[in-house]
Amino acid sequence: MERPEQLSLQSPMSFLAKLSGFATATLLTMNVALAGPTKVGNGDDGGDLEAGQRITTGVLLETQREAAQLLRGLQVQGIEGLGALLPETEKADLFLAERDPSPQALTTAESQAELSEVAKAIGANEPYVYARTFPEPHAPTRFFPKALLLDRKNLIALHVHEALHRALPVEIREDEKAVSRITLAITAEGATRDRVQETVRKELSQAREARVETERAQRQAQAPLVPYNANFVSAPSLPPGPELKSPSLFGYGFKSYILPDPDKSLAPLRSLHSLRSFLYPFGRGSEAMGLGIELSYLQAQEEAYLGPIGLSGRLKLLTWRGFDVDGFAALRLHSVGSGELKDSPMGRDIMEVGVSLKRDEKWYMVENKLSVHGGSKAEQKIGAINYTHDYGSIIEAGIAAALRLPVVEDGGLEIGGSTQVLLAQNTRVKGGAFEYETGRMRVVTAGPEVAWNQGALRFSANARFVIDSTKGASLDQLGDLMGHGVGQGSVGAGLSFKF
Amino acid sequence: MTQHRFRFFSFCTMMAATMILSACGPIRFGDPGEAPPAKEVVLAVDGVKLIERDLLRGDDLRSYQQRRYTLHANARLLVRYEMLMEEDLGLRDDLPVRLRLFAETADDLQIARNQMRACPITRNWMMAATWSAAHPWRGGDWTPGAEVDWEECVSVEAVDQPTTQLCGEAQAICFNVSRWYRLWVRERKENFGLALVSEAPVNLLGDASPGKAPRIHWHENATSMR
Repeated sequence: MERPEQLSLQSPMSFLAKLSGFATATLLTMNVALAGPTKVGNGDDGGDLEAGQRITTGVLLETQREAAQLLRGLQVQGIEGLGALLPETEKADLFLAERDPSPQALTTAESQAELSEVAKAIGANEPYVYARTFPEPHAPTRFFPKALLLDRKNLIALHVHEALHRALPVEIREDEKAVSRITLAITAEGATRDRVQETVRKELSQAREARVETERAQRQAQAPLVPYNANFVSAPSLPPGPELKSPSLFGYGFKSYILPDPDKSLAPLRSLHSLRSFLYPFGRGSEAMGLGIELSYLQAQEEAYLGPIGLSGRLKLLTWRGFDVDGFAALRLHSVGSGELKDSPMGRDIMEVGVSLKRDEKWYMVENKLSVHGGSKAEQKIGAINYTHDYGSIIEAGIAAALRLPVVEDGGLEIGGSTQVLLAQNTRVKGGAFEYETGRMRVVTAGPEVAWNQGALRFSANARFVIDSTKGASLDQLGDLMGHGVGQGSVGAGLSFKF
Repeated sequence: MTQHRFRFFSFCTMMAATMILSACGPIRFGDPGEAPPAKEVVLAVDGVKLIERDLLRGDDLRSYQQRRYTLHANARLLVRYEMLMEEDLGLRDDLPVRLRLFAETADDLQIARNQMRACPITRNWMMAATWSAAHPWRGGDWTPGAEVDWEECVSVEAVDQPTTQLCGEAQAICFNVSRWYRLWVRERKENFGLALVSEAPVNLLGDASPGKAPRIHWHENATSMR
């Protein structure tokens, strides 16, 4: 037995618990009461599904078998989303209602539109409620007397249509338009398995995209209003724009370096050829993540050899006030051997990580880029002395902008330019009795770019010049051959293909 | 009895002191002004770099690890034993530090004796140095032909000077660089090396010549460990 003082202490809590239980029970009851039968086919309350006689013989049963035969012929079992269609067609219990549905069912414009869709799908002349089912597996099909006026071909389509409401995936089975289009694809003259498969794939894809969009809108509506973050949307809900639909790239690039005095250059290179393949095999749509490989070929004053190899990754992070935000990382590895460029101040491996903010519109493009190049060492042997070039990190801030002139339907001219500010931390050179430190260096570059886009192809010509720097500094002293090059800049061209 | 004990105690004390002193090293009883015996140390100079007005790139293969270098008004040889500061040399200040090279021919030897000088370099340089730059990095430019202290240049040691067997070999050229060592390396802690300068063309054997490469020579106490 509980003691009186315990009871007095527990009473308020007990009351609250009971009140909470009552409220929950009430809400559940209300929800159950509101649920009712799901409406498929028209806008009434589904009460006509409750009565009728089981069909054991006649044309409706015969056409059910013929519909199943049709589906077997099309081998729909192997099509994504249609795995349950055949059993739902041939094993469904059939009922015949005593009378046609009430006229109120045909009053709304929405209902009329849906009935027209169904009539068109099954080949009936008149938009009418011919049959009904619950949109769940193993539910029966209930025919109305009007259905008996349809010919056999219409009835076969009607069996398929009703079975589709039960067999298709949840996100699509109640969409009357989508179900009608799939019915039409199955029952049309000359229907093929491929055509049916393509229709189902398309309808499912659209339904899934629409669902993602709806969820995004719901999240936005529920999110608290926070200044500067109000338009923040996480990557999975990004609507895939043109760039996300074809983010992969294969391209060739050429750069000719500008060396006012090749004899003073740390790496007297004439040019660099690069082959770039950037593929997005991971993720899907807005979640795409890509990996890239870049091979370079260096032309020095008198010889040529394979240059650095670039490995990179890029991930679409989010969209922010209409800007795409990408995260990227790149590793540039020196592939050249001793005695070649590896045995020079440029022979080092570099890791770069950064973020890019880009607004890509029909008439213009603006991109801001911020990245950090990690420090690393390069070994150089001259005579009997080994020198170590210990590079500090580099911070890069860049802006690129272009004006687009869509003079052709699927592309056009692009005129723009870019500028970069590079801040390099101290580089220390040490070997034997020699020791030197560069101190912090600044190099600012800028240059124009003109490009022609035609469909997936892009041809561009560009230039980049050092317009300002710490006294005596050049791109050489950044030690990043593949990233920034050498000398006082470069003139180049590129051809790429997006897919 | 007490006297015996005292003598025995004194004897033991002397024996112990003798053993302790013996363990520390040989006891010298000679002239306190006499220098301890010295040994010669000869090492190949590892930093040997030709700078010439016509060699524009610092990594030009003709400017290092050559069998022969030709010096003239527009070509100088930079030499430096790179580890001179780092090593615990135990170098004797009272004995000379020398730089030894070899002339290619007797004529070259004659020219070298008459015209060649070794001058302290006053600015740090690396093996990528050129006629116009101490190094290829920012701010590397220097006075064409290297920045040297012309007032501290030394000529080739006279033949009749007391010298080592090292400098007595045929066509050997020796510079006494003791003053340079004392002023720059020991006092200023700066090992920038020396520039060999000659207005008249002279051929010297280089660092790729077996046995006759430029060498630095000094003395250490015979007991010092290396």
